[in-house]
Amino acid sequence: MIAVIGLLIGIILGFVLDVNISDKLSPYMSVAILACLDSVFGAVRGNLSKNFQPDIFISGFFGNALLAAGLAYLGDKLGIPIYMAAVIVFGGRIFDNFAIIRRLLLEEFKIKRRNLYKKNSIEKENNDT
Amino acid sequence: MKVSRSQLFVAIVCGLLGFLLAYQFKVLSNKNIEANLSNYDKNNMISEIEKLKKEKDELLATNSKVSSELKQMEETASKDGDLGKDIKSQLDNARMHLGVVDVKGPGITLTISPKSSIFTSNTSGNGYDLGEDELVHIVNLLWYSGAEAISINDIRITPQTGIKTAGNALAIGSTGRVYPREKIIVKAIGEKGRLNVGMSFPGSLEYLALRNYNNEIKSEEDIVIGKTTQSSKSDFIKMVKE
Repeated sequence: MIAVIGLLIGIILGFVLDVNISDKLSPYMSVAILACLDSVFGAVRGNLSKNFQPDIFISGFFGNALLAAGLAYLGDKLGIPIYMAAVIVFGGRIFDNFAIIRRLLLEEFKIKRRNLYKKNSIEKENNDT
Repeated sequence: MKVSRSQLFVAIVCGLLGFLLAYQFKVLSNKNIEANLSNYDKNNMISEIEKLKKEKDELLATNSKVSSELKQMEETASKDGDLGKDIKSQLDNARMHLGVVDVKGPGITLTISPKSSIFTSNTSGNGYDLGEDELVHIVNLLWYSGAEAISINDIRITPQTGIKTAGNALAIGSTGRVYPREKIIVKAIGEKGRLNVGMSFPGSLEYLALRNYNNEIKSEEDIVIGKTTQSSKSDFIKMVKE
């Protein structure tokens, strides 16, 4: 919940504030954002599977972003598209994480529905007797 | 609701992510708008070029009309006496040298074409293509060998024509453009023998990138070299009176 509020505030700030980051850094930013998104998906998954650790999330968030941007920069200097590595790895991980999130959510939903069904049937039996 | 420290951090980090996303989105959409703008400019430019081309054709037509009128007037003026005739012939001579009239005569045609690049892998490398130096070298050689009129791809070389690399083309004077990857035909009117010797002297066509080009020299009896499309300027020079 609090994360969503933070996200919304950030988006609003991004649109409203007129911060100037050099145009040259723009491609590195994109890769860094991908890394950040991966961390966030990882966090959501951790949260659902009840082993979320804020310190791991935050260090991963910044570490991955810096590493991805750094690799993209290095690749630019060396003339090989290393950023592809970051895109493939983080992109793949985002999909993996999303698959796990989906399963966890669906399972939770199923359990809830089963419980509701059981409850209803118990109430029915009670009413009958 | 009690907010723990870790939750606060998570919120801040998420805020940062949101900020980055929004910022990047903004930057990229701005870029797209700019790209559209430049596209628009390009279209505009093409139509402008078309317009200018038409204008140029019209001006050329009026130019040839006016110069033929001038010629007629000169001829009627020179009919009156010998002095007038003399002046007229001098004037014509000067015109030929300035390149403002079509000229013809014996001379050579030098055809330069890039060698096929099947076996040379790096064709885009520097120093492979013909540049201003090579063309200037050829023109200079021709002048030195006694050429009286020179044209490159039918662009007349006048005393005021400069040759300079301009992007992927070579600008000849203010109006002409030749492309180093295409065939270049240099025509020169003068004494055929001397021109031939000058051109076929060992090493003269092996200068810099010229070794990457095939060249063919043909002597011809009747070479026609058209007039220049560039107007010669005399804004600053003045005659010194004796």
